[in-house]
Amino acid sequence: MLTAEAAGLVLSIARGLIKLGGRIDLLMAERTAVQGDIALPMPKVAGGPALFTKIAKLRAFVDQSAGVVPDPLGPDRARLVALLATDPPGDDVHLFFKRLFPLEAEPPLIDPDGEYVKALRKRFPGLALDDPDMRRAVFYIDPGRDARELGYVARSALLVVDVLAEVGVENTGLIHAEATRTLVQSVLERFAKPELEDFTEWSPVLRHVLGATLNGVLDSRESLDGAGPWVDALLTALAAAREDSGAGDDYVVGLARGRGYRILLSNGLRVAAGRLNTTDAKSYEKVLVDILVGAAPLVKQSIGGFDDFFKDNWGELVCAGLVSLEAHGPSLLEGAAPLLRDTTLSLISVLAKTPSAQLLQADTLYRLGDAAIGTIAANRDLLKGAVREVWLQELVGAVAKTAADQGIRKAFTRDGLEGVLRSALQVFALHPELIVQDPGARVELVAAVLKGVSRADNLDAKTLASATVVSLLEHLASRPGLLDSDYGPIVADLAGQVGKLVTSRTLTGIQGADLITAAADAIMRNPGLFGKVEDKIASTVLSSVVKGTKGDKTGLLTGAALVELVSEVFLTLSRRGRDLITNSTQIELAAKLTETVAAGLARAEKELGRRLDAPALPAVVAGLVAAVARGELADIDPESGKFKELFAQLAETLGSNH
Amino acid sequence: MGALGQIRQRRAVQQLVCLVFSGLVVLAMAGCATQKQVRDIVNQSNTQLMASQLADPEPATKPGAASVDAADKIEEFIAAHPDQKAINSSLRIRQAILYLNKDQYNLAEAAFDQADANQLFTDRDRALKNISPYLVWWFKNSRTDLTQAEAVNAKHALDALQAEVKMRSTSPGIRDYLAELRVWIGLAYAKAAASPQEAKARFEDAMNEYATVFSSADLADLCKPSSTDREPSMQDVKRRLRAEAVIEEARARATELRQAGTEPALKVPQFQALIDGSPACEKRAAISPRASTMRLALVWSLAGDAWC
Repeated sequence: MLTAEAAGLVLSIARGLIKLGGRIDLLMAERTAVQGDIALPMPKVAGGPALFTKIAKLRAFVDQSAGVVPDPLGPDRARLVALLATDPPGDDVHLFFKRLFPLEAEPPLIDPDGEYVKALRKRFPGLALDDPDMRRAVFYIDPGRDARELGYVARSALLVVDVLAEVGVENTGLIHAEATRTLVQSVLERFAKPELEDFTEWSPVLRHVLGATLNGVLDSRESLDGAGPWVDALLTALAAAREDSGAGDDYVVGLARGRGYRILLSNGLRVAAGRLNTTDAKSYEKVLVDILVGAAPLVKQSIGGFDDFFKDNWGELVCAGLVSLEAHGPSLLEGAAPLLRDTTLSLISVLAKTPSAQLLQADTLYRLGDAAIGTIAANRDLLKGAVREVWLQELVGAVAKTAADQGIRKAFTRDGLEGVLRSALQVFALHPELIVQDPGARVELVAAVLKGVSRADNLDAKTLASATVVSLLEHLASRPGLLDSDYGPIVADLAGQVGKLVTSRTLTGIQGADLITAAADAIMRNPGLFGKVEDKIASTVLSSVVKGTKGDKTGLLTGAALVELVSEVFLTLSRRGRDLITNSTQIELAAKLTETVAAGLARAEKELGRRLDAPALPAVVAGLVAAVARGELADIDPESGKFKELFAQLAETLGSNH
Repeated sequence: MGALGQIRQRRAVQQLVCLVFSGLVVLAMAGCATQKQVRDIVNQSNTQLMASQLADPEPATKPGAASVDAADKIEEFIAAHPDQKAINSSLRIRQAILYLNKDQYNLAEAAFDQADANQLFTDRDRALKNISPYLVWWFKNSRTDLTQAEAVNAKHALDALQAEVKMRSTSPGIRDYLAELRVWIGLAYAKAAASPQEAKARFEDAMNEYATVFSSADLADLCKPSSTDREPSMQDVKRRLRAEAVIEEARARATELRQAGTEPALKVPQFQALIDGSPACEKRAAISPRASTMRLALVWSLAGDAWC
């Protein structure tokens, strides 16, 4: 009989050999994986002319075709001329070039690998490239230097020693390894159940990507209480997009890896769970499927990097849809062509065709989507025919153009510029009537304000521009009649002048913002009085008053007091300035205002502490302007009896009110 | 114990030992199972990658055999061997390249991300992981003119690749690949300049950096093949032949710059001559195949497979 010891020894050796065999196999597998060669491809490269050549050719074309009837550029001539005038011209140069020089615009791609093969065949005519092993020799990229000190031969030797040592000793390492395997197994199982059980047929890489973010949702399940149907809707839509879009896993991995997915989980679903009716989730799911499937071809074409842009921003666009759903109700999901679906798809299509729109930040896109969907929901006429697409092109084009304007971008930080745009879009979302007609013109008004205040430094420019834009748009919304007047351009022009005051440190940014808000309000009270923007009445008023305070020895009419004075003067002129403004030339108006303010200040120096204190001064000087406007004060001399009498009267009356 | 008992014991030991070693033979035959699996993946992935480079259809699978993509096989392998970190990380890099080759950029990005940088050991894999964002970006954008936004990405890619090329000087295979990748991006970046002056500066940077990977023997050979070394390595041959397409494109770009009134000036005279098309570099003599070099390279590459 075999003794127990002998049997134990044989089994121990056998176990050790088996273990060694298994570990050698793994080590050699690692060697094969790590040191195996890879036939790294080199991508094909676009040929064709350089951008500077395209610009030169387009300029020559513009010059040569000037005056030709009919114009070969048609209505696009102005756009192309403006594009070529910017420095550097935008990406639309490529589109124009392709249109005007189609043969030169798309030459064959350069194929570095193909050219290499040609060179090989030319230089080594007898080379058997059909032979798989020869191909590998010619194409492979070796692994290069291995950073580890021990090579595979040394590691194999160590492995043998290690296993031999294990033969006589019960080694806990194996148990640890099993524990690790169990852990890994449980992690793998986590992806398959219970929350992701619908996705068991998906590839591990996709499950991993989805699982990583979905775990975040599940971890914060409490705060997403009620989001269940919406989470289901999202996941089902993703599954359908994977199957129906033709783009498969790659598309869905892209969607799930983009910032947009996390935004949708963290913000969109919270909005849906908190504010929307769960019964709408199923209808929404269908709409979302159509949006994702509909967008897939555009993403695949990836014109100008649109796929990355969409990956990062689809969540914002979908969130905007959810917010609109809250504002406009489930009617957005109804019918054979649900408004939310068609509008979002049109918006995505327009964004794909507008390369400069890809400069927009996610938050701005969200506001843009909100304003666009909201406006179309409130104005169903925009759904007719191609109107929606044209309207969206105008809106998106104008917003993108403003964001990409080099002149404006120099004056603002990117965040600052888009902050102002977002403020404007927020007002548009609240007042869709502002952009239902001529959305481009409204956005251009915002651009005019931005250009105007761009002289101020970054921080002040943002404050000033935000205040002006919001104030201007809200006034326009409250008085739609102003849309046809020059009110907007006048305020924008005035903002530019205030920008100069801020730059010269006459005012701080916040004071400038207060001033422009008050002036915009005052001008709105009597917009006809301020005529056309080219009349420069509002800017004359502002510059004259400021000029009049230059000799202020008391230092009382600076900063906030100057803001109050200008505001009071604008208000006074809106109420009582008709005769003064209509009967004076611009020079006369400026002279009278400057003289009145200067005289008021001169008088104030003598009256301070007698019947006047500092807080009352702006109102008193504005009172003098009112008297001049009414024609009650012809002699603007601070030492004249009439002037002294009026000043004293105003000081006594208005001083008691302060 | 009697003699019979001793014989029985000896037979029992012999039977047991035979049984154990029979089992070991079977196990040894199956012992290379994992390596075989990985080797199949490596071979299939290279076959797929080379098929596209040679514009050949992929070899047909044997009748009855399932046609499984190498990238899918990698997924299956990793799912079955989750604790093999080094193997899996290296396979993830390979998988990412396969996805890139199929224009599946999101999957490529995800695969690169899942390659654990701490489990990558070779210069090639580490370099590919380091430049993976730019690699994905370039595969995605190389076939169209760069937009203004993409030009910014191109600049970042050029900086990253320049650093990586310098770091990989002792691994000429991957270094040459990175250098070539950089020059193509650099030429595209030069093409995206709005002014000839800016384009000239970008062009010169692209070509000057590319020239740094060429030895004096390479440069002499580029101007006049077979002029110096008689037995260049396969890598040298590859570097020189691959440069021909780059030089061709550089020549076209230089011509365009000259037409716009700017004259590119390169640091390396041979490259300057090549893009100028000067007589010293114009004639490219046809030579006989260097069979010995090719054989040597082939033997070397196949030696790596002789295991197990």
